[in-house]
Amino acid sequence: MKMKNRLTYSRREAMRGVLFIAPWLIGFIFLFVRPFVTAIVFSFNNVDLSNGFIDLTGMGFKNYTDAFTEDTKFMVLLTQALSKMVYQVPLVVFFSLFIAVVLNQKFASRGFFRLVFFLPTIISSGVVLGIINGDTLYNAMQVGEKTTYMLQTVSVQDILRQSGVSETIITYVGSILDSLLELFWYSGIQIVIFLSGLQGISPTLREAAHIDGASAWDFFWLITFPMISPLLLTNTVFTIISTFTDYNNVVISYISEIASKMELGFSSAMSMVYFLITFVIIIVVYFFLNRKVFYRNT
Amino acid sequence: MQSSANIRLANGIKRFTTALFRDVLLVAISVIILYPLLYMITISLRPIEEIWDPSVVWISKSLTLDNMIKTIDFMDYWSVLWRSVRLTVVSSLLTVVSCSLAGYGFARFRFKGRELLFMCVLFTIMVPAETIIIPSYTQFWQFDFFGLGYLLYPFLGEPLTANLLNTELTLYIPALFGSGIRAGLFIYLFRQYYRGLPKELEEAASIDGCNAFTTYLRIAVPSSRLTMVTVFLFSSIWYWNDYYFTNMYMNNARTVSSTLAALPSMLNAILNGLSETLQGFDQVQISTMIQSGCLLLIIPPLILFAFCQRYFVQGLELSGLVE
Repeated sequence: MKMKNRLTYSRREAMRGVLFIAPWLIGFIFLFVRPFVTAIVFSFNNVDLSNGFIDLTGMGFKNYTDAFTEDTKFMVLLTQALSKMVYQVPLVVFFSLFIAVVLNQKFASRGFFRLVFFLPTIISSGVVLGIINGDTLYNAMQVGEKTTYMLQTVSVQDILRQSGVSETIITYVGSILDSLLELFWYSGIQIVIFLSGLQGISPTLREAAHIDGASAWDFFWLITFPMISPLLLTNTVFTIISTFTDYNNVVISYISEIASKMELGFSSAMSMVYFLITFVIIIVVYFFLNRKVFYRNT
Repeated sequence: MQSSANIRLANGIKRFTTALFRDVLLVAISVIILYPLLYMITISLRPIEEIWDPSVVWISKSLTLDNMIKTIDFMDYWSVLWRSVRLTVVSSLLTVVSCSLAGYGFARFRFKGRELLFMCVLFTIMVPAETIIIPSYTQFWQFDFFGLGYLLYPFLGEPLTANLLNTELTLYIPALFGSGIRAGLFIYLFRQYYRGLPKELEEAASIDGCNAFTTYLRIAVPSSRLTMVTVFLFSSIWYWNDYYFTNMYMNNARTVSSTLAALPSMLNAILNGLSETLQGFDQVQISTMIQSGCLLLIIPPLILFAFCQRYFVQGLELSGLVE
């Protein structure tokens, strides 16, 4: 009893809090920190599992220097992934914002469209997308050599070619259109998150703005946009993370490929490099955007 | 009078064109999104003979379940489905429980290092699974029960370890300890929700003699059920679609996703005569089976989504993501 009295209120509160997060904390230490540290150790070693135990031979920074100098593909894939991210992330964020704004309007079929726009989340987070695109019959049934989806960019390219536009511009336009089609597959969750934000904007605000003579355009830029700007930050970070950690990401699949050849030290070094770059980008983007975000409470 | 009628007419035209533009745009994008799904359905239900029939575009002259049945046989679908459902549901439920507890802890209690630990939650989201998969693999290979195995070191002369590979525990243990697939994101969602919840109810409950845990069970859990449905839905979609972890940890236990991932190469092996099990296969047959397989993979999450759909936009809205 005496013991209990000595615990101050804040100490007791702290204890309860720690108890609540205890399962996560145990998982974090043993299922995250420990493997993460081991991965760092691996990256400085040559790892051999073939004898039934983990056999490490110190390599210093050799795995790291090899990733940049010896390996021919890693740097290429890395720059490819980074440059793809540079245009894909803003496109996905603005596309999903646009669609969310449209789906937030009142019209009869909006429930159906909301369902449709979530469908890509189910399809694209799994194997289906890769399988359909790799299927020969599916490809054969599409006309032309470039096979994405029904709205073929090929036809657009054909029109351009017939009107005498130079080949480099055609390829460029084609790649932009292809990546536009890809957007739909990576925007599902972002649309839902934006939609939830838009629904939090009360209709009375809209009325008040209307009475004050604001147009829908003004309302969007002066009220809606600032109010959902925290979500803009959330979605940007989420999109960067999901493009970086996606199974279909070229670097990720290359690292998995190396790991499956049992070159575990080397693959660990590459994934560390990759992770560090991701991490720095996310931190920079976060602090850059966070300064511009409008928070209602402050 | 005249001019106000004109204004009304102009407004009407403007509204009509906006609506038209919106509908055209939405329909066009929906067609692109739905195209693979419709394609899967039409190819799966079409008799082989009609695949190349130029007069058949979407709806074939006769419908058949042959392709589906063949694929179901080939994939051993029902047993694989049962395993997938079990893995998905158990892991997602454990994820909901552990993440909700952690989220509540982060939202409601002040303790030293809280902000730092929450940063750690966000940090876990950023690390790709591939970075730590090999050490995690070796850890489950020689699982020492979170270091507890070493307590027996003096008695056994070696730490007590168990090989958990090829058991379903390799998915359940991380889920139970809040380290499942994208668990960090869910902890974030729960924390945001509980932070936005008014404290008064919980204070009343604690005055009525509830301790912290019963307050959580009786007040916080019921009020967050929409967020829980949302998290369960997201989590189960990711668990359902996962083939990376199951391939890694449970090499011989096939799930629907991992079977489908292997399906094209298995079928092509037959086509190239590497396997003798099924004769008379051709490319077209294989493609119809692949499409049927894709359909078989996405039907269960679609059904789940249709059930939960009602709750989940609402759930996110309440999750306080919107502040």
